[in-house]
Amino acid sequence: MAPWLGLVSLAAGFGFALWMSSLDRIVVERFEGRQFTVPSRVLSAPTILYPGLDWRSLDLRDTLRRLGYREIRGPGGLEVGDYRWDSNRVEIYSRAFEHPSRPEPARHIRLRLRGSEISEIRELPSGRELGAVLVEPERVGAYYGSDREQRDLLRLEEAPPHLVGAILAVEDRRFSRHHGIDPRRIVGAMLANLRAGGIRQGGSTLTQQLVKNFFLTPERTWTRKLQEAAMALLVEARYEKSAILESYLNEIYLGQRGATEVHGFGEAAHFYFGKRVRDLTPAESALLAAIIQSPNGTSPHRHPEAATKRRNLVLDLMLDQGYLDEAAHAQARREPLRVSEVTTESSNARYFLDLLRRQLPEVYDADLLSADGLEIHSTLDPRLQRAATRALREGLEDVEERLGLSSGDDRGARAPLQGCIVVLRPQTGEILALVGGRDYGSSQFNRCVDARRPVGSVFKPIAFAAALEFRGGRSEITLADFLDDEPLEIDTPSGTWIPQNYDREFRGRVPMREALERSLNVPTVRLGERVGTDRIIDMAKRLGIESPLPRVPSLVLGTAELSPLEVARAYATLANGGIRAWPHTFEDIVDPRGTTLDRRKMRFERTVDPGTSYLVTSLLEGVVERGTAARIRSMGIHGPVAGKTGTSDEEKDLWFVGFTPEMVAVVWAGYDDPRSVGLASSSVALPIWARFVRDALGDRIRGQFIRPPEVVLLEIEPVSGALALPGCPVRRSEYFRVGTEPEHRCPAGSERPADPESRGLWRWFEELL
Amino acid sequence: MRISDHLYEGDAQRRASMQLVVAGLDADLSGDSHRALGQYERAIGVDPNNPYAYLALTRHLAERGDVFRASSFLERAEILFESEERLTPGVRVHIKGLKGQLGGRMAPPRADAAAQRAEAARYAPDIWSDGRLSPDELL
Repeated sequence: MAPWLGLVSLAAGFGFALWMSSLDRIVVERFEGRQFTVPSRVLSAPTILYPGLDWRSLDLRDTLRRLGYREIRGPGGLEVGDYRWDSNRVEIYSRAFEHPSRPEPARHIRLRLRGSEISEIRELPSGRELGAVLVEPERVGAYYGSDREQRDLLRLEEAPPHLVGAILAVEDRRFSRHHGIDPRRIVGAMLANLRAGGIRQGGSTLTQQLVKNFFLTPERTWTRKLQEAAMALLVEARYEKSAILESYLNEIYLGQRGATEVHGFGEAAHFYFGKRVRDLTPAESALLAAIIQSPNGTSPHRHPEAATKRRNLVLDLMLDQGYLDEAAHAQARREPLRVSEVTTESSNARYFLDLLRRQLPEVYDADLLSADGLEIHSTLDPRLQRAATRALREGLEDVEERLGLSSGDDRGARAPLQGCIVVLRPQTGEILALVGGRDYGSSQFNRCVDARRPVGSVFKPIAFAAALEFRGGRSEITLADFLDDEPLEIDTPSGTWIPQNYDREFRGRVPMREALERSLNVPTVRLGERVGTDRIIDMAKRLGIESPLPRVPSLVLGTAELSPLEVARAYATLANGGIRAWPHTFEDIVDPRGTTLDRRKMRFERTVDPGTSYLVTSLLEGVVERGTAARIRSMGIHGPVAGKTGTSDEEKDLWFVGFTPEMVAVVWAGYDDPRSVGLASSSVALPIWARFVRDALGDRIRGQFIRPPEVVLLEIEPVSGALALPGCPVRRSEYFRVGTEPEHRCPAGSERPADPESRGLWRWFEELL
Repeated sequence: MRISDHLYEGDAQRRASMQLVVAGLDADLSGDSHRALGQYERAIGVDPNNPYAYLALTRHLAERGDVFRASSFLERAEILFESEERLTPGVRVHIKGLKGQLGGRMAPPRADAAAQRAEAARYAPDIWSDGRLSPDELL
């Protein structure tokens, strides 16, 4: 043999070895490193169904649809993930779910409906009555990597045998016998394609398909084909069949959900059937195997007939190859195609997700969110979130129409009117809903969290709280006191400041309540001067305000720039009787193995006494009953509501903060580039708030604001503020902190008898001793 | 006072909340602390002003030495019971006993803690003689 031939052979062999070695490195790196990026999913708070619940306000039917439950019409049994809806009865076969604090088994339940109310819940078939049932949480969103792949990792042993059988039957019947490539399959495919005059059959094994998806970019060249074959051989040489199969089950592309790709059978089971992979029927397994070749071309959503035809082909192959017996085959073929509706993840929670992501680093490395496949159980109430999104969108559109800005030309010249809503549960600090802007797609700036805007009169209650606070055995004022509404000049370092009321009028001497109910500026400034800026700032901090506050007399009129979230927190402290909670967006973080990594504890601190909180709440109830927020009542909302309007200079910022015994909601509206809206907050922010509350809670608010024992209800003479005793001609009720009751009497010189409230007062003293 | 005596009182939200409180006490009885805590918190989520939920949560946290949070919830429970005029002798005994239990664990212990525990034991010896409230004694 010529020497040069030997040298060439040696060089070729060396080159081949180098090539194979580089491919082998890629295989090892991928297989033994992090195999898959699994996005972390964010789940809402679970829905709790109970007798008495208004199912319409809950959007129950829509909720089931969004969760991928299939509606079954007509007779016949239900399977897990099905529901049947009649006029006065709903039957649901709920899915099991692994909530960290209360795993729920799958449950067959029947709800009786009476009008809009769930009148009864019974478990089937036992008929046992149930007091409360949890329905699994909704997927709110996920933190994707740049690949935007969605998958739900599964282990091989979790895949039912008929799923594995279906895949092998249609894609690689000799999987257990070949070493990565199957020459018989290649030849067979070539012949079939020649006969058909086109590509009808692929010759790739599962291993080759895995290599193509896992390691390589989707080019179709001979070089790529060679690489694929070589890598398939290497994978088979290095790893067990079971490991290869498991990777395949988790990698293969199986469809599209909006902008995200569905990868792996775990995610596909959820996407197409709304169930876990272990709950798949043989027919469903066959369908998933059937669409491997062309997930979009044989999508059961878009091409049900083609999907069914191909599914039946797979079932026939499963019978031929012994994966199904005759009876199971016949039953599966008879099974109608039943897939869940396609639901893309809601985009209206993106602002909430952004805030959650910012809070997560307190407990978890946020960089791993897009890869570690965590399950994050959030505090989001999807129903409230939808209500808030709708209220903000429709409310702002209404305003623009009123201002003549709704045409594209008018709006297009400048940025549109913006807004935000944030909703907290005061007792726990849970953020139940957050909409940080009009449209996340146009602007990701989270106005609820990151915008600092002048709050206007929304700050006034804080000054009143500081004045009402009982310190050193006394408080600066009581609710029976009066404030002067007379012209006032204050010397400041930048000159003389002359505060004005909104109508530039003066009323002389006004009761405390009226000063806040009508949001009068001058009496409030006088109050602020009396209490002192230091005490007001101290009160603000204790309520939960964290932004810097200017030490100026105009602070009480709301010149401070605050975020809606911190305003919500401050008012939540009042609503919660002076106990300040920490606003949070998530409760539990669970890893893919089901281990709870972190459980967020509810954190509280008493920062204001309950008496002060209650007195301020009472003032704010007056704002709703008689004051600048009285429109709430005319909008049909009844029950305990307290709130405050706020409009900054030149109507650039429009605020409404309102709370019930169970919820605080803050609405801000304005332009991002501050300029006048041309309307007051009672015409913009307040209606948005009312629209949200009506949608979320109905028109009758539940519960009551809790009066603490140290606050008593007495009768006073309205003009003098004296304690009204028998014989006093005119009287009204008013709240007082024990120890601050009026000293003078009406009629003058009267002795105070033992009235029921007084008995309550003495009882309080008895308990104290 | 036993929570099971009040299961069907109040409106739909209260009743549902009470079911979750009972489920929490059941979980505590079976030793599943994590699940119990979740149930109590869920009960508060359904009815944020349910005094029984706060009381059960106080008991749960007191057992685990979480004095600060338990005290906050106990204060809340007391105010809510008072506002609903449910501050019965049976409720007062539990509140007194829990105050004594928590006060004894503070650093330094409250001066009146022992006296409060003794008073609770005097009024309800079958429950408070051991200085603690077990889940089945509240259920």
